Amino acid sequence: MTTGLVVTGLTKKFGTQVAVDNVSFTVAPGTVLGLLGPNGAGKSTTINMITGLLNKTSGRVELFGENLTPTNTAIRRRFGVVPQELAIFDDLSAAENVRYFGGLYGLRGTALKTAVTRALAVVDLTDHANQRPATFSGGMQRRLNIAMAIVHQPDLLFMDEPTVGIDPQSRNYILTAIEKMRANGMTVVYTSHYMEEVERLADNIVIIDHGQVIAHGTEAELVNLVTDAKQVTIVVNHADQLELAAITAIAGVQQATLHEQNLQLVLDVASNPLNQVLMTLIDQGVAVDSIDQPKLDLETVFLNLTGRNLRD
Amino acid sequence: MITVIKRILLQDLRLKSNYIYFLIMPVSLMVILGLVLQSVFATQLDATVNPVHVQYVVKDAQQAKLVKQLVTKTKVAHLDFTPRASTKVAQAYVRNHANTAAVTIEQAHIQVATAKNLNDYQNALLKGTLAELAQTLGLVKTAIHYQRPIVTVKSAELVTVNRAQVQRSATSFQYYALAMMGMFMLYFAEIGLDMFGKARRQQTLARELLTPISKGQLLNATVAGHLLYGLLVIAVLMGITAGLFQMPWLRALPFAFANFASLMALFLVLGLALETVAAQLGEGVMQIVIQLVAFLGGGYFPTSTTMMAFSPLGWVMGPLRSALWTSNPLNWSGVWLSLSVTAGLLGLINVVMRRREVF
Ligand SMILES: Nc1ncnc2c1ncn2[C@@H]1O[C@H](COP(=O)(O)OP(=O)(O)OP(=O)(O)O)[C@@H](O)[C@H]1O
Ligand SMILES: [Mg+2]
Repeated sequence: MTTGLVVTGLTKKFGTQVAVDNVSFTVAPGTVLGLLGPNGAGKSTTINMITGLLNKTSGRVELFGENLTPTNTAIRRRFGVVPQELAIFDDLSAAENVRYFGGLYGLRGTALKTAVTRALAVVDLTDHANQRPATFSGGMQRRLNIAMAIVHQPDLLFMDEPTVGIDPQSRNYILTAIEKMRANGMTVVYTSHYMEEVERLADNIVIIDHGQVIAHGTEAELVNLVTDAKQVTIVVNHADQLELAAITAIAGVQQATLHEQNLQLVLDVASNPLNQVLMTLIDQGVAVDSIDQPKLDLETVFLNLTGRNLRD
Repeated sequence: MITVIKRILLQDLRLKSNYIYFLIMPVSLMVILGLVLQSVFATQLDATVNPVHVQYVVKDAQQAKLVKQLVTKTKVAHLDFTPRASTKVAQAYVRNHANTAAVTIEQAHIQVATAKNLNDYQNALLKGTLAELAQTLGLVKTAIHYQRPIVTVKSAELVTVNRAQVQRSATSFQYYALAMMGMFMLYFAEIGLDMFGKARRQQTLARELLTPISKGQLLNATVAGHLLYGLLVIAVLMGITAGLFQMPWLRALPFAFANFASLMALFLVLGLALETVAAQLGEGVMQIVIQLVAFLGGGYFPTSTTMMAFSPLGWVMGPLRSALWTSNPLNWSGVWLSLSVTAGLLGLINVVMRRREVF
């Protein structure tokens, strides 16, 4: 079975408002998909339709080759959902919360016990297993929220902004945990409006805005999408020996300017002549001190695609 | 299902307000109302006592004369005696008239065969008079026939009252123990009203619906969990009232339990139904319903049978009182009526809830 999640033409209308508009994407097994978009883009609505919590207005969702319909309850064992809002029973202890959901997924007896212990360990809550979540910090509650979704060891995990409003330490812990889960073969769909997270975790990225997919691909593909040129600054010694004309003559170099020791270049992304530039510099006897290549991030991509910032 | 039921039970047991609603409030009200209205209960009985028309049959002809003399001589208030030819005739009369008793006298043995609609005051009167009569007959007989020394005989041995036929007495504490237990069953509507509200606020409901459990299963398991808690509450309250007020539950234990359980189930589901159709109005409407039902059903003070017929509390309280303090056969109609309405409502809720996107 090679297909993971296949979403085709997913649409949700709330009255006249189209919250999700013909969204399609696929997620290969064992990969992480980042679903990136600003507030109100339709990320949660998309996930809720996929998981069956909301009825789809139209569209099709296939998971591991099976059609995901609201009545197909058996398939629900194969995925887990970390909801955007904390969804925790405050009158049950952390372990009881996790155990309850393990039970709902059909785990019993010793299998349930080990699953609970394991899930709590993954999010580092073992020492707080018997405490009520009301006494937890925001970060701990977020982590419990995750443990409750992974107790049944799903093949696919949906995480809807699992790191909202928590301390950097907890956030880092969660991101590391996700990386570990992916290493163990879990498929993850991860929504966020933090690009750093998506850049760090995602194999593939879907950018969604106003309910529509505006871009889909790997980080590099997305960056290339908005620009065919990149800027590189090379700091050189012996700048007086440098012949600018020879550099400009290299195929793929669109622009070359020298300000004191800084050689600023605009290069073709496709042919990437950086190597050749460096060789030419060395031929000329110009020593290269350092190369600075400002990274084009998803923030820039989003800005370029929509003319707006991801976050205000 | 079991997983859900266990979780609900655990939560109900941990909820502090439940202890106030279903333990502290009812028991303290029983004590307070019982104390305050103790005297009211006593005088009320005295004031409303009706004369008892005793239909008596004497087997032995010679003894019959003696008995006739004795009963005409003893003028007891609220008691009058009419001789009848046979037990059959006496009983037939009793069957058709209120405030009557059929009494058969054979040697020094007196048997009360049928007694209809007698309250405890009337009953005490009848029993006392008959005991006196039996003692006199026994003395006379002993003196005449055997010329033995006169011994005092315990009246209890002489008068065998057919227990299955006679009303027993309830103290004011017992009246309110029964009434308050019934009344606080109504407050299970509050649990019903908020059955899914909390899970909805905490977002856990949506989460549960993402697991393999179906909406219907989740709904019914949740109801079942609270019902189980309700049964536990009833058992505990029965235990406490038996200890504190000597509630005679043992006279009809399964029957009493079934009555409270059906009332509890009805209001639990009624609360849920109200929340389903009108979440905002639910709370206010429920309060009115509870007060009305409590008032009509005799939760605050005794009400007439007509009023009780309009209240589920009455459906259950009437049969319960007669089961515990009279000899009338057990009347299961309240239980069946409550359970039928409960089942109907639950079916309706199931239909409505399953249709909803997120309930
Ligand atoms: N139940 C609903 N009824 C009506 N409109 C809704 C409902 N749920 C969501 N919407 C609308 O659909 C749009 C998408 O919302 P959604 O929650 O999917 O966004 P999101 O990308 O998850 O945003 P965020 O980052 O804030 O979580 C929003 O405009 C929202 O107002
Ligand atoms: Mg969202």
